[in-house]
Amino acid sequence: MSRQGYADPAYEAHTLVTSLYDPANQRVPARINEIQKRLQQLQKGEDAWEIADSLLRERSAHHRFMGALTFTVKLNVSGGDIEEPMILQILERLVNHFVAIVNEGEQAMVIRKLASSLTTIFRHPKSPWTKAIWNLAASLANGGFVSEEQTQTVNFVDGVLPALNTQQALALSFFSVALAEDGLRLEVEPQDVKPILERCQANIEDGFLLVQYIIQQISHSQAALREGSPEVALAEEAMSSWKAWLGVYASRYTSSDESLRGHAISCGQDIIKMLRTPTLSENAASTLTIAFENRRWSFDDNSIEALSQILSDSIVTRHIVAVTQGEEGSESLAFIDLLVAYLSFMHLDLFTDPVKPQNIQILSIAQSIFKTPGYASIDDSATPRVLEYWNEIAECITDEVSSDSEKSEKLKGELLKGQLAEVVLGLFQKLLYPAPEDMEDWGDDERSEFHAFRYEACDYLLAAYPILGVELVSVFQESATTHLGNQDWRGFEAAMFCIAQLSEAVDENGHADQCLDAIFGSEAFTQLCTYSHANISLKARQTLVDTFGKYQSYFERHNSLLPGVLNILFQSLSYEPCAHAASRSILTLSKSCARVLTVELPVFLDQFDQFRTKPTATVSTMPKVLEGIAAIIQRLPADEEKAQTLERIFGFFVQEAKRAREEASSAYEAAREHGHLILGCIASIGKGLRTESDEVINLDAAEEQNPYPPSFWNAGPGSGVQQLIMEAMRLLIVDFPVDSGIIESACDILKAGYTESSGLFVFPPSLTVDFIKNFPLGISGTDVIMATASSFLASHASHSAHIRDEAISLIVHVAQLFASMLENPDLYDPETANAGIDFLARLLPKYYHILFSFSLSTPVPSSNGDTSVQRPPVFIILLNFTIHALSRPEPLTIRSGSNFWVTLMDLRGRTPEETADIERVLEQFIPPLCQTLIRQFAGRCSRSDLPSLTDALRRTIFNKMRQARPSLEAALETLDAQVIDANGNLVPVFSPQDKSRFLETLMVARGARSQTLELVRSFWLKCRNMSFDYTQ
Amino acid sequence: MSSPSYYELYRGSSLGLALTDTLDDLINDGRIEPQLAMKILSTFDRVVTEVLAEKVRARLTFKGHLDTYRFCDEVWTFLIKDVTFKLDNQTQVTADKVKIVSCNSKRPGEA
Repeated sequence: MSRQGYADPAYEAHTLVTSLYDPANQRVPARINEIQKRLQQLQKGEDAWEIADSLLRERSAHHRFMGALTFTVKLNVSGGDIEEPMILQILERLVNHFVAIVNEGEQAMVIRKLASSLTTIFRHPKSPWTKAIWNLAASLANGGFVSEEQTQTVNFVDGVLPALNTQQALALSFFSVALAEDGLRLEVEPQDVKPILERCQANIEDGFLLVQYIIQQISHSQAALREGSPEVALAEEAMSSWKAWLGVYASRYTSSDESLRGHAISCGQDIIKMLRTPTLSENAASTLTIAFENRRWSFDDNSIEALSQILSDSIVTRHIVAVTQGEEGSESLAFIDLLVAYLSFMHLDLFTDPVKPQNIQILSIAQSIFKTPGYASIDDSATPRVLEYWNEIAECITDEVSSDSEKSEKLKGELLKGQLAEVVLGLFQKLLYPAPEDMEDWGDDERSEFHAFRYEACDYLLAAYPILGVELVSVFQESATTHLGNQDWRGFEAAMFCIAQLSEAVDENGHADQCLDAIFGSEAFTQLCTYSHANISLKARQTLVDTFGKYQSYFERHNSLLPGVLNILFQSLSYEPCAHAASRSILTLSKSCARVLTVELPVFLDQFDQFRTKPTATVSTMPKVLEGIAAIIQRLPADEEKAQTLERIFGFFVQEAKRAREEASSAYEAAREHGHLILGCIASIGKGLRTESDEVINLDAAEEQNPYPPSFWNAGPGSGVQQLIMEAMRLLIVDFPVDSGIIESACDILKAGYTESSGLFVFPPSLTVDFIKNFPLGISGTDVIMATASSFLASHASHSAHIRDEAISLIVHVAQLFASMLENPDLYDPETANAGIDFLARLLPKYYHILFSFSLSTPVPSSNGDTSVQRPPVFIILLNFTIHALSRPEPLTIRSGSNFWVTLMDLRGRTPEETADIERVLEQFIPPLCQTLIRQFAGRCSRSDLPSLTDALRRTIFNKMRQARPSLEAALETLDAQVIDANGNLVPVFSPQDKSRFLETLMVARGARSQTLELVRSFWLKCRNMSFDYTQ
Repeated sequence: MSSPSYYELYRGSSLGLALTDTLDDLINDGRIEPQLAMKILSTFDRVVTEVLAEKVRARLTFKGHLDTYRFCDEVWTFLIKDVTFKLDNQTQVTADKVKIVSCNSKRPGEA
């Protein structure tokens, strides 16, 4: 007796399916869930075969659908228990059901579901079913199941297929598609499916023959001209089937089979003919496009010839022309795609002598696509598609023309050049930036699509330049001058946009200087410079200021234009959409033309004074402007002049810093932003002031130097300026609400002088140390602070003895942070740990003698201020912490910890005493290091941590084998890794022999990367009780 | 065993490593079977390849000196020196040496 009082499970299933589709239950999700749950139980249960049979015998489509589904579920669930005789029995039942429901004219949904059940039985490893399409076709023709032996007595094409009616042929096609698609899916299955795939591939020929038969029949059928007729559905299914079997053919194991390929090509040719049938042309176009993109081998010369005829003059041509005239839209894009696929397939062959007349016609149609009304990518999807093809051609043509190949000799150069030029003219209209009212309804996606199209177009211009030469620039120059003269800002913007993008090709070599002279030397441009408040549109202004920055070499050669240009740039800083591009261009031009701009400095400073009060003076614009101005200041001949100008700027920033401090009491966030802007500006000035020929800091120089030698900027008349910078920093760091942005800018200020030995930004070493020590544990931006500390020590590496106190101070600071984290695990901060360990690893090569030689210990802070309790020596705390970091789960600290130990293992002392110091340290720390590494390798660490942890092990074994061996042995001995066996008992993973073998193999590998990693990986897998690896 | 259709190289990316570590943990806790992990990773291989091909619109250009190039087993390798990358937002990134390894994006039998 089954549940709920049902004696007969089949009856229960019937009732459940009826309830499932009962409209009264549709709004009761709980009831639906309950029904589905019970149905699933039945579908997996022992009565499932009978239930499936019974449901399929019903007249309702819902019941039959569930019947087919039940077959599939049961086959998947109990497939492992089924042997060949039973498979044959189930197959016979399924085929009989299939034939019956097809002959009864059942809905496509049910037939497809049953076709998928048939593929499930086909896929069964023990299924003997091989020529499935032929066999199913014969069964359909026979009106019931026939065996495979009997099937093969009747010819598939001449005997079986002509006996099928349209409904039967359609049902067979459903199965054919399902079988092929299943075959494609099998290919990515992780299990060994080769035998099943081979059986599937035995059906490729029948699959193609079926497609060919159907398409040929349909081509003579008048019914196929009626929209929605069964013949149209049949032809569409046949095309899907061709696509799917091409995939199976491509992935087959057997070597190339020309007869199969012949069938594939033949089907393709029949489908090409379908392009002329209005009801099927769109579907045929989509199918052929996909085949062109992925299965080019399925076309031969005859296919191409036939297609070119159709593309040049047929219903397909008329659809494409209708798209270019705006009469048809997305519904006809399949034809554009086919055209582009054909063009891409033909590639340069289109231009090979002799050029076929139909190809000339096709090229003309392709060019007309640029005339499609509307904005590209938004209203017009055709233009971006065809542009893709021209981009491909333009990119490869330069190489082809410069090679001496036979192909290049045959290329019709003039035709090609003419076509490339025509594309440029066609594109220009498409590049016009939309009027604001047109863009009103555009969302972010549309805007970014349109911008992406514009950049695609620029790629084309750059690719076409080597072929079209300066003529290409002159086209845009003429357009720019004409539109500038007429104050047609849209046209001017588009022309300048193209000229800007071509700068990469023409700026440095000066090839287009004459064209640029014609624009920038024109009366209209002079007017624009003089009256820069003119009514130029914001977009045109934005593009113009961007263009200036892209032609820095041109303006270096034509520096008389610079004052006018910079005037426009400074004026443009006031407009929000232009400020960013203007500041960038000011920086670029000021840096490249600094020498000639020194006379303009007073004007620029006045303009800067006006700019700094504007709302557009932000952290993304102001620092760039100041960096440019600083680059000009750097070119002033006398330090006194520099100091005078800089005092004016920094005086302003100190005032601003004071204002920011006052703000901090009331408007916390505003004060932060203000402080960030000020420090960002100061850091940028530091960058701009860097001399062009920075002296090289020789890290290995033996001579000892003063880290802070007296100079104009710290002991002379310029010292006041340096004091102003330090004052601004003090105001914005000490007792100020700092954030990571402020910290980063402050670090940039400090680092600005690290590459110089004397200069305004070379500060006393104590400034860096005090700055770093100012920040507590766990603050955001610790990585930047510690990286600054590393840079500081690196910049003084050649005279490390002179900054011994500062180095000690920094090391002790890090040790205190580490000690706090070791003593209070709650305070552990991975970012601080990572940054601190990274700092230690970087200082090791040059400062190890300081690290290991002093036995200073740090006091333990207590609540009552008693500091009598002492911690262990600093280096012990530091090394213990790095080992602790290796045992933690955070990947970053594991990597930095491992890197630290690799550096330490590679360390060599410069004197016997230093070598002895290092040896002593290693002697003490190798045992705990090995203990930690082995514990991690024993399945504790993540798989992705293995490579970095192994690095530490490899260097230890390679450099210190004598100490490593006993330490690893001891670590392995104490290892008590256990796994659960098949009986559920905990058993040790390794016997003592296993451990000893692992140790020996590690020693034999002597730190070789791949061998050691492989050994460690296997060890880890064993400890995790895994017998597989995802990837090598 | 059939040849894999998608490259496994993205398993070595930070996303792939994080996924692999997570799957390892789930297996270790007995919450999933290794076969499911394999299936998830093959789905990851497919999806990451498709998404990178279809969804990513970011672009960059770079210039440098081509030092060495080779083509072996359908894999191109380029070693480039003194490289400057220009990103979409106009930022520039420089590198002394860059190695580009490029595999055929078409599956065997395609095109």
